[in-house]
Amino acid sequence: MRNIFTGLFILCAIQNVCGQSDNIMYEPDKTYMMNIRRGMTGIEYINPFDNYKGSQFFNDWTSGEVFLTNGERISGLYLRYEGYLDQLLWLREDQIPCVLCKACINGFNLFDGTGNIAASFIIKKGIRLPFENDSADCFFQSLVQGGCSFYALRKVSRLSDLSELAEDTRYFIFKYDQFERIRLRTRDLLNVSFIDKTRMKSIIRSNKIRLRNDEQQLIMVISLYNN
Amino acid sequence: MRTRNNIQIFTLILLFSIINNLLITGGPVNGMDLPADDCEKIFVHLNKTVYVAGEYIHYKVYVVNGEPPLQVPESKILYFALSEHKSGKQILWRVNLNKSTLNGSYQLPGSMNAGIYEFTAYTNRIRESVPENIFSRKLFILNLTKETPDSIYMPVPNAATNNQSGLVTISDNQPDIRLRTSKSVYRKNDTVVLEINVDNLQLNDTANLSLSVTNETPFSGILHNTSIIELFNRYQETNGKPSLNGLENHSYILNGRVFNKNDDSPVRDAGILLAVVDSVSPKIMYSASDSTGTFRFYLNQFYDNKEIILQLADNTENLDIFWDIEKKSIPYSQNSDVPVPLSDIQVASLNQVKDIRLIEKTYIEEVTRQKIADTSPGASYFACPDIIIFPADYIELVNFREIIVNLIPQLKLKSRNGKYYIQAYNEIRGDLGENNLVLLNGLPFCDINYIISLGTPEVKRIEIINSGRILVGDLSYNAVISIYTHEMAIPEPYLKNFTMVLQNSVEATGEGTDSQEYPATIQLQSHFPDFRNNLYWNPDLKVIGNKKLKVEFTTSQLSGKFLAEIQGITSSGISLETIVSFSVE
Repeated sequence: MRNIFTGLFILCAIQNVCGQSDNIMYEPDKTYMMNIRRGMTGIEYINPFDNYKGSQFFNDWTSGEVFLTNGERISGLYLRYEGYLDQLLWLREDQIPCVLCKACINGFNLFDGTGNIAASFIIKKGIRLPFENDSADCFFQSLVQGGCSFYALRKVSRLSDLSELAEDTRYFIFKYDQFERIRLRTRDLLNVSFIDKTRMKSIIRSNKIRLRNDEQQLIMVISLYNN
Repeated sequence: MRTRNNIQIFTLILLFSIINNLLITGGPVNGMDLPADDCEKIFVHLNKTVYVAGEYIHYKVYVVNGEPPLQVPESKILYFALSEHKSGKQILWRVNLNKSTLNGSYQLPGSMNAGIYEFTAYTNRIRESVPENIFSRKLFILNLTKETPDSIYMPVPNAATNNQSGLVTISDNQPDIRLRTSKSVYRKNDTVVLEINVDNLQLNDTANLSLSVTNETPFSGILHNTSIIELFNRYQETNGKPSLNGLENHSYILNGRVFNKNDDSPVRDAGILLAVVDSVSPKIMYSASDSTGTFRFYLNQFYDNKEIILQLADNTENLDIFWDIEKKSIPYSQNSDVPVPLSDIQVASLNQVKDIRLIEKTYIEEVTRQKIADTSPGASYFACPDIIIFPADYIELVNFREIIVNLIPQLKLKSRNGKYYIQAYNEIRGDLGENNLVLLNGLPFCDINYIISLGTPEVKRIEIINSGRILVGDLSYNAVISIYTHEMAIPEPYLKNFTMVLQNSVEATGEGTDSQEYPATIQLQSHFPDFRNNLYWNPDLKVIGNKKLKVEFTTSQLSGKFLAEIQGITSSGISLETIVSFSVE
């Protein structure tokens, strides 16, 4: 009887293998990506702060994907965000770091070790920030998406007269084309013109949220407000 | 007890085996035993079967792509070929395949020979891996300037073909289309009303249909064609061949090979640049040839209907090359074609078609459609320019040497052995470099002697990127110098000597490309003679649930038997077909 079972199992296995061999092997997406990556262009990145204290980078080289303005998505790239120049860097296969042209990018995702999105950046074209004289294309890390969107500008500043770089993240709340800069505190959040003050207050109270310099708490409160 | 357990286990294994089988081969769907293969299958409904050179072929394409039915096809490019029997000459064109059904039209070249043509439609995936699934049908094409043939060349029927295919049984309760005419006999210039309804169609189901009404021709034996039901329900086994170059699921693949002219050997590891003439920014793409000289580019819709210019990245040394660009055609063997004499009735019918076409050409003004290129700015992979100079903002300078000397301190013009080259100052490296990418109107351009001749009257704008090493695929440049002229022209000798120029033609599809021009014109201008043999063509009819659809058109001055033919597919993937006939006296 055992022989019959074994025989039947082998039969099933063979059937499976034969069934699969009927499928056509089509060109895998990785061939496409390999060709696209190989043909990419950019400018070599030369670190201007070699001997500085601190770092201008948001992350180490991590796997990520880039969304181009022409609708194309290029995945399998090693990416790094440079906060001082506000530029996206790509590590080529020949280990040359390269600045990707900001004008052709809509956004990018950085992945963690397990392949999940660790950070998602989008580009706001021609935005004039309150502390800048001119409008520019800026990368914002998307923290909350919804009716009210919450973004962080992961800026890095050079401290004057010191060979030191310091993180200088600025936070913004967007509603359609309107946006306001806020600091991580309750008063700033309640003063945003397009936020319903009463509702926001009740959300903060009912959830016992303390916002003082806590990015995660602000993410939570805006997410609750959007719901 | 033990025996009972064994029987239960045995039954379980048997059940597992059956389920396994079903998963592999596909279970019954909507009453049909659809195969589980994910092969694309194509059917094309044409507005008629006899055309005259210079006329438009109007068509509706149906593509199925495995299950679920009518999902967006994996292939994004659809190819058409018209192959002449006897000579094997082919006319090729392509469209973008964004939906599972599309309609369009193609104007036949005026120089075509009269005879039988094989009309084929395929994707690159089908062409490479399942050629049995290539859609094929025969057409008669005539030419007003050439004699009507009294015999035609036809392939000898091969009984051995299609031995892998088999028809899948179709159950009784599946949707079935009905087409009724208001009368069986009509007068000339009479109004015909056709009523269309689909039996057994679910309330939320939609039938996507195309309708042609043409006069009957005496070529039914010669032009016998496969129906949509037969084609889509035919189980086609895949041949298991890998399709490593073929699946165009992202964009059109431009592939080809580069060879040495001297010894026909492939040029390996050649850096190849693809460019289009562009007034906004460079649209350079890079590819490298492999050991067989093969290269490939993925061209998105930005490149549609544009002139594509290919050249070697280093085209100053190795000019003795030739390009072999893959045409994506299908092989056609004319060896089996034999002459078949036409009867007097058949010749008379062809002559009538020619006469009707002559009347149309005389009385109706035909509009030739221009192929429209994508006008979006597209993505330039280069960085934003560091320096932009408009020479017209300064005093007039007679040539580029003067422009460099007076306006661009970052550039230096040098000459060596009678040849000019440009040095550019790189801000990061802090020195002058010779390895620069010079672009003329977006095209990599190595003839600096020509650039020198350009002065303020010719040059519109100069852009320079010199803030780092510029990386283009495997290539690296010290700087990019991009020159745009007012005329946006590239000198012909340069194109001839250094480049390969291709016209990336794509035919338009969708609404507005396939209007019923002729009947509409006739109705408006009623004093014109009306001898239409194609009374009606509508590629985009929709029947929802159990609703009825009415279609109205007028007959022409042409008498005889007419056939109204509907082809279509429901949103659940059931193919539909029906033909009714009526007479005009």
